[in-house]
Amino acid sequence: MATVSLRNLKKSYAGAAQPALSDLSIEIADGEFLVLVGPSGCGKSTALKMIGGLEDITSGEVLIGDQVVNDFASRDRDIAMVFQSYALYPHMSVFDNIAFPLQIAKVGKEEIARRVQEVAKTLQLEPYLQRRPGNLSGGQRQRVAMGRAIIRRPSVFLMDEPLSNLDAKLRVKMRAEVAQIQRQLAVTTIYVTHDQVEAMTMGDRVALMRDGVLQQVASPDEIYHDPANTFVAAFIGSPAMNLFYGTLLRDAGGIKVKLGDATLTVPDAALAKYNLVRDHAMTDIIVGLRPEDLEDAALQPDHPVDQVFEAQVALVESLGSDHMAHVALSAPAVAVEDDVDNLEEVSMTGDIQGRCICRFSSQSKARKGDVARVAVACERLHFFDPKTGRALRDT
Amino acid sequence: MTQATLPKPPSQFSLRYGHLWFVLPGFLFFLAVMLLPLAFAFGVSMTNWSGLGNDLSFVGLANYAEILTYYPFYRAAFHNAVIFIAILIFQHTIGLYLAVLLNEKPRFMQFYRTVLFLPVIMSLVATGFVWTLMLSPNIGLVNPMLEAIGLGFLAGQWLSQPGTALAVIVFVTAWNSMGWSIIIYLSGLQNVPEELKQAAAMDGANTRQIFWRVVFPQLSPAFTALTVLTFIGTFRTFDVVYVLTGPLGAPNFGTDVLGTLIYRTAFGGSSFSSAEIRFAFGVAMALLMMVVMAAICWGLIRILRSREIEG
Amino acid sequence: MKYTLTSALLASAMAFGAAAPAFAEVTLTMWHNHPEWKDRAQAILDAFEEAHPDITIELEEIAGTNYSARLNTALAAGEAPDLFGLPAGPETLAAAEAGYALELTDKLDTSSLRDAAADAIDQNGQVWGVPILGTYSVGLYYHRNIFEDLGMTPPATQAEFLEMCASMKDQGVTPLIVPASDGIVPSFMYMMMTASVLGVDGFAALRRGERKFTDPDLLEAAHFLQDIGDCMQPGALSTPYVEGKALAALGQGAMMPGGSADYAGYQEINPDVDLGVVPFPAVGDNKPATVTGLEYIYLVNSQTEYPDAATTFLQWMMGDQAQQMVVDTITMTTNKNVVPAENRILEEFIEASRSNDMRVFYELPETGNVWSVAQQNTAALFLGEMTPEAFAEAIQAAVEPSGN
Repeated sequence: MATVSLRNLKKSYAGAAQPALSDLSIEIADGEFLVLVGPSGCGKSTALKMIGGLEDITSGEVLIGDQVVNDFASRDRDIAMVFQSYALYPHMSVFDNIAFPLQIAKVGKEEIARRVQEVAKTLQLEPYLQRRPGNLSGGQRQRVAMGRAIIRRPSVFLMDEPLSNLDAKLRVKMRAEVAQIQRQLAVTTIYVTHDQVEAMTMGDRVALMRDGVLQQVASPDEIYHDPANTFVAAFIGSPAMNLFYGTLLRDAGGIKVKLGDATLTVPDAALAKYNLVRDHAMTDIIVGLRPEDLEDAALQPDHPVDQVFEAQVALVESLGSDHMAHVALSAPAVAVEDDVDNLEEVSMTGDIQGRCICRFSSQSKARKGDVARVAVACERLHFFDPKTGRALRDT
Repeated sequence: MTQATLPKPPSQFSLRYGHLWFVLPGFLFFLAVMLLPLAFAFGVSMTNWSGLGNDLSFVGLANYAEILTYYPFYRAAFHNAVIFIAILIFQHTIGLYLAVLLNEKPRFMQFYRTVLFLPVIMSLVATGFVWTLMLSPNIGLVNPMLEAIGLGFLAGQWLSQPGTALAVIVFVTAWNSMGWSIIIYLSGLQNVPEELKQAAAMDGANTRQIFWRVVFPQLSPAFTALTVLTFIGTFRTFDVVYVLTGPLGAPNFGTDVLGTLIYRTAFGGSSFSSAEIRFAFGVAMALLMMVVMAAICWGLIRILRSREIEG
Repeated sequence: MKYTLTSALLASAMAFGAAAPAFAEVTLTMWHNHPEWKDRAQAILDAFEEAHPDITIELEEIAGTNYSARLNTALAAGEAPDLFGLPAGPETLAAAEAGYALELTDKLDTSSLRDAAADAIDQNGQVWGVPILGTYSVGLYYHRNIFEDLGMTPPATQAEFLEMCASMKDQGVTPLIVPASDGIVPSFMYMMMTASVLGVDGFAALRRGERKFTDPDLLEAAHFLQDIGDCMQPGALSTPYVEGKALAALGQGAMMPGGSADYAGYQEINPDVDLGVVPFPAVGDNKPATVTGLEYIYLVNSQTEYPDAATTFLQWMMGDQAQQMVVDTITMTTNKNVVPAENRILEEFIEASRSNDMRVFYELPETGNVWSVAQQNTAALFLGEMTPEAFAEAIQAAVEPSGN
């Protein structure tokens, strides 16, 4: 068991203009489950490999416990890793795969047998010990990889997208299992994924990265509700947060935000959270609205009228429980620049005619072509600096 | 019961055997260029045909029976076996080692790889001739070079001593076939996922353990392929011997292999006399050699395959 | 069916040929086993084509080591050329008996042939092939300049040779160049040694079974051969023919066994070569000897489409014009009407063969098999893996005496 400290970690490759990883500093507590998440190429795997000793460190330090391990070979760092491909030894039985770290460490035969049995029991692999990995299902292989990692009782687990090769259903199941095993063993774990659902459900804390730069480290709730910037806001949540350019107005009624034709009153609760908003009165800002904070006003007759806007419904997607209504807002949408890869949620148009996605209740009668009245839970509005993208609050 | 199954729909047969139509063109080709000549050769091997004229009679398996006590056949086969074992050891050590070095992607790797593979694509007859010239005690480069670097005691009449002539054959064959072992092993090495080695490193293995316990076992298909190819290649070797030491496997048959023996027996090794030519006997030796080699190959593949990874 | 059709076509084609006054543009293919003479042989063929513009000869040269394998396979497959060379004697007879050759008896005028040659091609009154590219003698070449430098004269006896051999080695000179890898040249040496002991009469006695290679005086020949092994250049046992010839021409050794037809090749490699010829040193106190044989004689393929053109060609080749070219540019002729122009080497060969000359083993039925046994065992003799006694016994075992 150990803490892991990353101090100003940097990785640059010869010939690359931008460092693959710049100035990454995270303190990971003993027994903590930290998820490194971000789009492809954000540097999360590089960071993991540097911790594991599989990549050279350009500058900065990696500490495990109190020990700077920069110059330690992988095998001397007391860590175990689960690979995306599982990297099982195809010529060995399941037993030998799990036992391999102990065999290398020259642990006694009986001790090995006992511990493999123990791990196999935990992972429900007992019937398969004599099989070769080639004869196992994806989930079983994944468990063998886990078994090989946990048998050595290392100080730190590193997991590199360990569930991404599983089908959707199995992934959900294994997600819970992995998290449960980690809690049981209470081993410090660093888990890399590009799947925000894994990040949100498994981690004690989530570290979101982009282009080699850490964006925010926080608990899943905090990162969802208090995103540090527009990138975090747009990345976490599905469908993504709606982000629009708006103008802050101040009049007798208090602070209002103007989004195209619509004007919404910003309640005190929001102003309290985003304490810098007041300083930006009469200027352009970025407003973030989570789809679930937008409801069909027809279903909420008591909703304050100054927190409602009207917009034409361009498309309604029914999810059964909810109706996702795409409404046209006459405000410019924010495009979060990134190599978005498969995260289409992040891509937005710069059109004046921005699309805004609202999660209406299934009771909603709004249909395509209707002009709907949308009730906005304005106390949960998010505000960002239009130049830097940072949240308008003290951190 | 029988009655019910009797009126089979006519498509039943074609359902079961219809796919054979697709094999037919290939089979016909195989029949024409392999099976028929083989059958013909087998027929010839049961006669006493010298290769000239139409004077022949059926002798049954007499040729085969004679081979069993024909000393030159065993002498030649023994030389083939020596070459096989030596080349096998060479390829699985030096060849593998060079492949591992190349797999580290050194600078100028393309260059090294090309240079090491070059002998394979060069004609053995041409390179064999160059080797004869280089090794010649009279006009060759090798002896003067050895003397120049202080290894004069190694200089010698390589090809005319029975003790070293076979070693030279092995050396030239090894030099020539090294490219194969490197390429086959290199492709095997490149098929070993990087993550497997990283996983082993994580699991505490040092470089040597990673290689022998994780990487090397992944190479067993390459090992099998190479062993079988080497076996076939060394037992049908002919050109190196023919060029380096002539059809008689000089000196005094010290390098005579099955290839040269069969050639001599079937076609003659002298320009002045065809008295010793026995075509049918040569064919019998070739066929016997083929059958024995096929059996050994089958055994080799069975043994080696069982060690490979399934799935 | 197909066969009869082709034969019918062939027959009508031949009928046409016979009816026409001249041949209609005939091309004959011809295989020859001396690539090193290609230019000289081609020059003779060019002269023939000039004389017979309607016949073209397509010459293909095949190196001696591959020639018989190539030819035998082609003959068996029915793809042999119209004209092909074979050693006179048993080889020619075997091809004839196999039905590969057209009988030439009475089809050709052989009156110009010297008696020895006429005798050599006579197979029980039948003729299957004729000598067109001459005859050769084998003796011992020596570099006159090297001997002059050493102050020596060429050896005439076994004792002289071995003494000279030791002395030359002491002075850093390789005494004898022998390409021994295929056993051919050593076998020629053995023939010359036995010729020294046997002479023409002794050889006849041996063929009748009255003498044996294992006779004590003949055994001495095998001993001499074994002793000579130490006089050969380093690596002789793996020296191929071409390399040996080059070493000899370049003066890498003082002497080398060689035939009258080899001289042109030496000159080609080294135009300044200064050679002389003597008979091979005598065994014991016999006379030194040479051996003589015909160059491959030419047979007409029994399957040829143009037998008349082929015989026309052979007849012309035996004639004075062609034979003058043979003797002037290649080797000794079989034509008694032809006198060589100024040619010192050939004269020396003729002089050498006056000492004691014997026909080569392989042209005679009784010793036809001896040749290959000798060829296969000389290396063992040189290496000491076989005693001279065992060598002689093996040789004798291959003799088929005519008395039996």
